[in-house]
Amino acid sequence: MTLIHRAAWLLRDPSGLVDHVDHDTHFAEEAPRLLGLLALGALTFGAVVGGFRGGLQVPFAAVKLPLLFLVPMMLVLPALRGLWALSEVEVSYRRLVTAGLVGGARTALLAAAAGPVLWLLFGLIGYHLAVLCFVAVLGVTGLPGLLVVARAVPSGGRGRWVALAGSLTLMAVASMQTGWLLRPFLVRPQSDDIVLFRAIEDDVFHSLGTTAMSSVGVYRYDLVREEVYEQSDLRGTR
Amino acid sequence: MDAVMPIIEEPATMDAATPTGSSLPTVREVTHGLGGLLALGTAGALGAHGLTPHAMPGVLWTSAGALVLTGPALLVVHQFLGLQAAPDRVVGSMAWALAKAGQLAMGLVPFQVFFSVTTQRGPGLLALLLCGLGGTGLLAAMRGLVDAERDAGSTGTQLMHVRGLALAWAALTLLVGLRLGWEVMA
Repeated sequence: MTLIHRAAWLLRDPSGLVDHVDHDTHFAEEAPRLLGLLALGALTFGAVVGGFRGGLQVPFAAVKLPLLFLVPMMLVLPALRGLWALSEVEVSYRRLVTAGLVGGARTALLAAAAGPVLWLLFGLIGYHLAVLCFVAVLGVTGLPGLLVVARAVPSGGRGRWVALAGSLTLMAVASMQTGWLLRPFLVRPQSDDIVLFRAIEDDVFHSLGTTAMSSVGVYRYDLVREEVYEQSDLRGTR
Repeated sequence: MDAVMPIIEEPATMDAATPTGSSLPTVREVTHGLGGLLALGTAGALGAHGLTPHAMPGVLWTSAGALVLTGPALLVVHQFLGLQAAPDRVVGSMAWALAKAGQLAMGLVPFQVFFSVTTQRGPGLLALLLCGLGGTGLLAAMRGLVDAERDAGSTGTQLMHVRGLALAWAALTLLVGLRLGWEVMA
């Protein structure tokens, strides 16, 4: 029952919950509950995402999704404190961690709520569109979570937009690379290649570049073929 | 007579905005800032791209070096223009900016380590972060300079002069920092 009450509270009044948890006596008691809600929501959403392929991919994706929510937060929280300090706003680590947990749990619950819609869509669309839908759901549900963190920072200070823009950029970049490292979440239904993690190859920025080129009709194998042709032309002219 | 123990209060839950630059930071704060800059450079020097020892002091050398090289010029021109703020407030603005930028650099260490270990782009990211650190640090220093002048009861013309001076000094510091960075990385 406590978890359900906490879930209702964090969906209805996240800022109030941050103020309540950010207290000496409440933090130790409430932090595990928030972590539990985050894990529960992310596990559910992960299971739905893994369901695109089915089989072993369901538990694999379910286990990895909570990490996708937690790892970027842990990486950037110290930097966020420094950024806000430069804007003359002192915010404690405990408050940032609390806001991060409340924001993450809110996002995870909203993503889990979007699960049935995503599951229905997965039955109708292909792999590439499914990947886009997955990212879109994360983006749409991530925004209310980020707003919780932004609103948890005390008012005042100057140049807040610099700290806000910097915080969002750091969070986005860390999330992208974490997602890349934890892939695959979605696997093609006909694929037999089901693994928990893929080997580290290139990085998310390289992948984005390749995808951008592919979207304008220039594929990686075209580039390789062009290179081979150029080399054979050179050999021919010699 | 009973000794009265001072009550040390915990920081407030909703930490209020605390203006800085009103005085000189403590030695500990500056040392912490310098440590942060050194730690960020070390994080960028290690990783999947291999060891690049010259990057280790790079961040510290570039940021602190640029301030040391251009700080005296700022002080001289500030006094030459007859502006109102006391020299220690001007030095304080720069020292606070260095301390705060160092604190941010320390916070960026986990982020840099993560990218250094999982990608080949450690040095590139370090250069980007260094640009961000320089930009935000200089903005903070410029704000401190203008505040110091305003607190000293300057006239409108003097405030305009200090804004121009701060902008010119920030541009100069940025260029000197780029030159130092180029020499370190080359």
